[in-house]
Amino acid sequence: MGFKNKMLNSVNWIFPVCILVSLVIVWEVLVRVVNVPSWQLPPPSAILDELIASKDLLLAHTLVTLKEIGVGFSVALVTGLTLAAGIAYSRILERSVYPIIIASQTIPIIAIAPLLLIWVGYGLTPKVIIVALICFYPIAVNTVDGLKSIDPDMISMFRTLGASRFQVFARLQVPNSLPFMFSGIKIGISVSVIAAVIGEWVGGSEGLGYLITYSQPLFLTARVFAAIFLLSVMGVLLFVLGVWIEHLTMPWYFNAKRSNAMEIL
Amino acid sequence: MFRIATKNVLVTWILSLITLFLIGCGQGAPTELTKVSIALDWFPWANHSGLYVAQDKGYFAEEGLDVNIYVPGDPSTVLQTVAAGRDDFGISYQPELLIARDKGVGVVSIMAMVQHPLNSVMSLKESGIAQPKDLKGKKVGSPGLPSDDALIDTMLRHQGLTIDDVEMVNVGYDLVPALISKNVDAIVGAYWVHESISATNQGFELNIMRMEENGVPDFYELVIVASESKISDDPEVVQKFVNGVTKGYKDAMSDPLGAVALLKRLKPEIDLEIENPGVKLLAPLWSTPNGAFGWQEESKWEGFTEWMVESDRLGCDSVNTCNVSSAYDNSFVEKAN
Amino acid sequence: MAAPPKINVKCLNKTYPINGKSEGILEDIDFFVRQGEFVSIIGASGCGKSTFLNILAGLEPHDSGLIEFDGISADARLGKVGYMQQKDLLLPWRTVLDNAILGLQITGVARKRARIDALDLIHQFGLLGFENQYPHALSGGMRQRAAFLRTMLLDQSIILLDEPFGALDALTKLNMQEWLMDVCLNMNKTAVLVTHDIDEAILLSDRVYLLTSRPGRNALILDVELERPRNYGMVTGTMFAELKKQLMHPLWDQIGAG
Repeated sequence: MGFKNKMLNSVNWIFPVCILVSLVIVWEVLVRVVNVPSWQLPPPSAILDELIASKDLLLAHTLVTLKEIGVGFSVALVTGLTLAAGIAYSRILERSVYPIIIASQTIPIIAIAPLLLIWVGYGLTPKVIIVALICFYPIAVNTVDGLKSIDPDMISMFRTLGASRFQVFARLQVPNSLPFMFSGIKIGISVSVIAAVIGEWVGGSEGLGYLITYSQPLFLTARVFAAIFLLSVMGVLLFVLGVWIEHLTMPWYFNAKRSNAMEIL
Repeated sequence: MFRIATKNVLVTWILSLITLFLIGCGQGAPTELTKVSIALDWFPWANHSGLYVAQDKGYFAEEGLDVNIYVPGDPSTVLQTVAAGRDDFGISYQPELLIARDKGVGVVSIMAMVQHPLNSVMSLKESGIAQPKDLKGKKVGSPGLPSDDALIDTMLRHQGLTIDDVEMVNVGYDLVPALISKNVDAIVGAYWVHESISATNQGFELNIMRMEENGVPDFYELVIVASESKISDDPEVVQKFVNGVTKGYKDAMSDPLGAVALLKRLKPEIDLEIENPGVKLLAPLWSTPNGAFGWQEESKWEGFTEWMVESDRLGCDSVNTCNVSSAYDNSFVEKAN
Repeated sequence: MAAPPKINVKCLNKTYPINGKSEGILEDIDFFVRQGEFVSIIGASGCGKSTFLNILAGLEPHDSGLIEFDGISADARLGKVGYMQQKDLLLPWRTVLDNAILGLQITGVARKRARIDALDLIHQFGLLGFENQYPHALSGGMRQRAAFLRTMLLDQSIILLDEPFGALDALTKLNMQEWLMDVCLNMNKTAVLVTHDIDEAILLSDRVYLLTSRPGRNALILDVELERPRNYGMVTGTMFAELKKQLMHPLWDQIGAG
C-alpha cells in the first residue's frame, strides 16, 4: 500500500487512538477519585486547559526547540552520511575513524555540555552540537552497514561490466544502503527531540526543555505536562515525516510483493 | 577427585551465604533507631557540616534517629518529595517555599539554617561593574530559575532599572566558569561564601553586590522544611530531628574549621580550599539574636512575603491572605533550646 | 590459414588453497571457440566449470596456461567479456530500462542516449510495456531477459553464460533457449555456455566440452552436427539421442566414481 493510503486508512489509526483515549480517561478518573493534588499529577483536563490558555507561550518555545532539532539533525545527517561513506570506501578511514565514532557515544553529555557552553557560548550552537552528536551515530552506523551489505555476486556483475571502484560505490553501494540509512535516520529523528531538550537543560533560555525546568520550581505542573505533550507530538510527527520521505525516496522498496509476504507472516 | 572438590566448593559456598545472611539480618535487627531522610539542596558543602557533625558524633543517634543525608538527583524537587512523604525533611529556599504553599503544597519551614542571603550578584573587578545600575545593557548569567530573575529585577529597580535593561542568559549551574571566561558580564545565583571563593582562588578579583544592601528585604537563604502532615502526625520525630540538628550546629559554630574537617573526612570530594575560607564567612550567619539555631523572625517572613506579593510572584495578594504565619514553625527550635 | 579462434585456451591450470592445502580445480584445460560459434561446457558439480567462466571473464586469475582472444594475449579482459549469471542480478531500485542501460552508463554513455539504444531492443527481448516497471513486478523469465539485454547492450563479441536458465521452470526454459539462439545469431555473438542440462547443451551448441570431476580435465569434446536453425523438436530425434548417449556414458562414470 502506498504511504498515503496507509496513513489515510482508518484501521491503522483506530487502535492507537482507542488505547490513548482509554488511558486518558483512566488518568482523569483516578486523579479525581484518589484526590491527587494538582501540583503532583494534574488531570488531563487541566493539561488541556493549560495548552489552550498558554498557547502563545507554548508555541514560541516549541518553535525554538524545533529549530534546534532542524539544524542539529541536518548537521547530524551530513556528518553521519559523510563519515559512513568514508568508512565504507577506505579501509584506513574505517580503522582510524570508526572506533572514535563509537567512543563519542560513551561521553556523558551532561559532562561535556557545560564545557561546550564555555567554548562556543550560549545560543543555538551548543544545542545544535549536542543534537548532532547524539543523532549522527545511528545514521552513521546503519548507513555503514548498508554500504557494506552487498551481494558479492552483484559486485562481480559490476566488475564484468568494467566498473571502477568508484562506480561500484556510487551505483551499487549507495542505492543499496538506502533502506539501512533510513533505519538510522528514523532512529536519529526519534532521539533528536530528547537531545534538544538535554541541550536546553544545560544552558538555554528558550525552548520546551527550558520551559519545563523553569515551570517546575513554580509548581506549574500542568504546564510541564503540556510541554511534555508537545514534545511527544513533535517526536511522532517528525518520525512520520521521516517515514514519508522514506516512501518517496524508495518507492521500489515498498512494493506489493514485500507487503503481501509480510501480511502472511 | 573433581567431584569431591566440587562438593567442597558447594558446601563452602552455601555456608558463606548462610553466614552473610545471618550477619545481614543481624545488622538490621537489634538497633531500634528510627530512619529518617533529609534531602540536601546541593552537593555537600560547608553549610551542611552541622548535619554531618550531628550524624558522625552521634547526636542523631542520641535522639534515636538514623538520618540518611543525601543529595537528590534534581534539587528542584525537594519540596515536592517532602510534601509527598518521600523525604522526611529537606533543605530549600524561602521564596520556593512560599510559592509552593501558594499552590497548595503543604510544606513548612521548621528551621532557618542561614539567617541572611548568600545569593548575590557578582562581576569581575576589572569590568568596573560595582553596582546594579552598571549592569545596564550587559549580559547577566543565571541558573535559569525564576527566583533569581525576580531578585535581580528588584536590585535593578532599586536603582531605577528593570530586568528588561539587562540581557539574562541561562548558563546552567556553572556560573563562575561563565563569568571567568567572560561569556557573561555578571552572574546572579552564586553564593558570596562559596562560588566567589572559587573565583578568587583562581586569581580573579570580584565585585560582590549583596541582595539585602540593594533593595531586597533580608531573607533566610536556606531553610529546613518538613511537611504539614509530618508535623501533625509525627511531631516527636520532628522534634528529635531538630534537637539533633541544633546540637550539631552548636558544635559546628564553636569550631567551624573542625566541622569542615569532619565533613572532608566523610565527603572527601569537597574542596578545602573553598570550604575553609567559606565556612569562616558563613558561620556568623548561623547565629541568631536569641542564640537558638534555626530561629525564624515573624518580621522577616512578613517582609519577604510582602516583597513577593509586590513583585507578583504569589497568587495571594497580601500577607494575611497568604497565611504567612503557617509557613514557618518555631515551636521545635524553641523546645530544642 | 583461417582467422585465429575467438577464444583460445591452452594448458590452463587453476588451484585454490582449501584448508591450507592447494586443491586442483582445473588441470591442463584446452579449449577453443571460433567466431560466431556456440560452445557448451558440461560436467558434474564441482568440476570447475563456473571457475573456468570466471577466469575467462577476468574475475579470477589462473595459475598457468595460455588465454588468447582473436590470437592476442587477453590479460586485460575484465569488462570486455559479457557474462550472464544464473541470478539476474537486476538492481531493485532501477526500472527495467535503467537496469538495461547500466553497462552502457558504466562505459560512459549518457543516460538519455543509452535509454534510446536500449529501447530499440526492448521488443526483441520481449520486454515491451515493462520498461518502467521495477524488477519485482516481473516474472523470472522476463528478469532473465532484462539481464540479457543489459549484457547485450555492451556489444561485447564474447558472451559467457553460467546456467542462465537454471532457475526457470521447464516451459519458460524452452522459450528462452529458442530465443537465445535467435539473439546470438542475429547479433553475431560468440557464446560459451556452462550447464547441467545435457539436452540444453546439445541443442544450443556447435560443440560440447565434457570435464571430469575435480580437478576438471578435458574428458570429451563432442561436435554437434545438427543443422541450424535448431528447434526443440530435434530433442526427440534419433541423432539427438545418439549424441546424448555419447555424453551420458562418461558422465555416469564420473558420477559413479565421484
